[in-house]
Amino acid sequence: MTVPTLTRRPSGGGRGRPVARTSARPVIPPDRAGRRSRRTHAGAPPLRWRLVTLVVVLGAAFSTIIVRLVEVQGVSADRFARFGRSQRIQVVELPALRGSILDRDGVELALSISRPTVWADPSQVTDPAGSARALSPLLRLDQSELRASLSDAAAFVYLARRVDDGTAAAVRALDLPGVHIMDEPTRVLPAGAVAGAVVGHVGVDHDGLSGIELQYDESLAGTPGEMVVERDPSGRDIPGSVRQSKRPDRGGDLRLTLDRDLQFITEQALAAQIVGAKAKSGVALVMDPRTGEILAMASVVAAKDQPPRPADYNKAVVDVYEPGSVMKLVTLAGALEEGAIRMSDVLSVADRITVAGTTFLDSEPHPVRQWTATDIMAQSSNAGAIAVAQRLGADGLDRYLRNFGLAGRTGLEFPGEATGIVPSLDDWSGTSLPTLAIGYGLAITPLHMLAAYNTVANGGVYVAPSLVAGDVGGAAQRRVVSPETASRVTAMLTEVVRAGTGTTAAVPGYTVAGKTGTARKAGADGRYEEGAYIASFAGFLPAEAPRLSAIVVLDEPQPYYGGLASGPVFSELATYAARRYQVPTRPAANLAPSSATRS
Amino acid sequence: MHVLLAQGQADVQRLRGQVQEQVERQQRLRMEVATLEAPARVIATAKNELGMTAPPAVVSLTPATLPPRP
Repeated sequence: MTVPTLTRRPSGGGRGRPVARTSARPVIPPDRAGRRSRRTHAGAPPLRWRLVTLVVVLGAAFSTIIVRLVEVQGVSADRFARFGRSQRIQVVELPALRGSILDRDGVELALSISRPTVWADPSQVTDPAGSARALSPLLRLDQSELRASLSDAAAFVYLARRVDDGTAAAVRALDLPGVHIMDEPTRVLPAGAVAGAVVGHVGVDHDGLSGIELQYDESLAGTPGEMVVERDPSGRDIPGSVRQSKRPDRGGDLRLTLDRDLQFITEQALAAQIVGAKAKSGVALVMDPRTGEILAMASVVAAKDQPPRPADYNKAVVDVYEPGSVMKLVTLAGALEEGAIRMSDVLSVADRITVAGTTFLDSEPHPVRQWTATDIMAQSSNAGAIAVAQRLGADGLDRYLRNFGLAGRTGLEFPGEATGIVPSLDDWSGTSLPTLAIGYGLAITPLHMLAAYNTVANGGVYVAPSLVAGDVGGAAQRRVVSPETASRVTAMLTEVVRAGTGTTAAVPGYTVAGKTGTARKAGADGRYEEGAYIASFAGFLPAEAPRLSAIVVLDEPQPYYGGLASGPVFSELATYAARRYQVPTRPAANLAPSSATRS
Repeated sequence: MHVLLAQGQADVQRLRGQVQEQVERQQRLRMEVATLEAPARVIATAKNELGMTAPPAVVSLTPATLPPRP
């Protein structure tokens, strides 16, 4: 709009009042012109002030910029540098492959391989409903759950972990935005559940949860590596920008003393007898008594309307029980070692004996017999064993119970391993001695018991059990009884299998030394359950030069006698193991090793 | 120069992937061997596919006398 101006008419040209004159600017009516004139001359700041204001504003702006510059480039430079790096530099963890668990021959009992895992970044998912609909049949997951996962606020959600390769390929072919596949290590047991209770389990994050997996988790797990990379906004590595890289250290392999094939046979034999004897569960151990190496360690439980299955945990070292008559080995060995009884001594043994007002019975009634220590062992006489223990005395019996390693742990350090409970001598009552002498009043594991038999097999030297090759346990070796005592006890045990309660444990071609046990089973209330027994057999072979030892324990079998229920399983296991380890058969009478080598 | 660097980086990544693949393959093969040697599978194959049976009893033969020394 043009601006009108006011002027006066030249003198003599009018009546003295102002008139509008057309000029470059339009004429403004008097009333409006007056208002304009007042704004221009009375309200507008002078030019000088405008300049001052401009300088102040510009100065303030520049000051702010300078302050910010100093802060960004100086005071907080490190913080901003870190922030920048965090946006483009990523630390990628390189998972370490878990080591394998091997048997004594190097065969894998457990190993790790990678399996594809399907995951999603919901922020990249454009159509959660459509993606869920496409993925649901492939992953066999509920569509609504998948949709919820794909709509999650998190930047990372698992959709299906460790799927098979075919599923992964099918998911990859869908090419769904925001749905990705990565490899995750998976623990595999190539032989199925063989030795599963010993090997143990790992969790979803591949850390050991039980068994050997837990006990040796640190050495099996290895050390994860890491790679620091600079990546562009698309997630691609920026060439030449890798700052540092640390390779993952694969976990070490662990070689056990177990023999996978013998372990399998042991589990099968135990399962068959659980079915045959209608037992609730069973435990069997096979060892090399010379080294203490555990060759097989099986725990099997009955399942309703199904074949027996491996136990969820290692019952051989976790569960404790009252062993019963297999304990008589300790009583008689101690008495022989202390000279409380000699092999030639003959005792008058009735079928019952009363101590401190309590009567202890033999398993079968019989008239008073004139029995040697060997007879007492062979017939598994409770009254006879108690009489021998009375000769040994409380101090002696307590000492040998402990020297044979029945109190405390075996040194295996297996997770959950039970401590052998032998009452302190100070806590003994009047019936403690007869009770302990026949294997009651204490709680031990089958491994404790077999280690005691190994001591006799080893000529009187206790050898700590071991499950890992090269691991000699806590207390490796110690002498418990003399070689002479061990030899005499072995002779007694041989008689048990030749003509006593353990004839079912015999192995053709070998001289077996062993002992039966038929122990009443205590219920939850501490009272013995009527008709409930734990049947066991422990022994070794060949008696002349022991190479193998084993114990078989069955929970509530029918028949319940150790000789009838557990003896046959021992025989089956020993027969297989002796053949597998090429243990020489018993030499003929005229081919004794000593004479043969001299000829 | 930058192109060469990028190409080298790509090669490193490719080789790293190949190493990982071979490690994985080795593990899978070890698993396959262990699975094939599993006692349950061997017994099942022997019985069902090859018609083998376990001997009813093991007989140990012991010579009555030692053979004459050469």
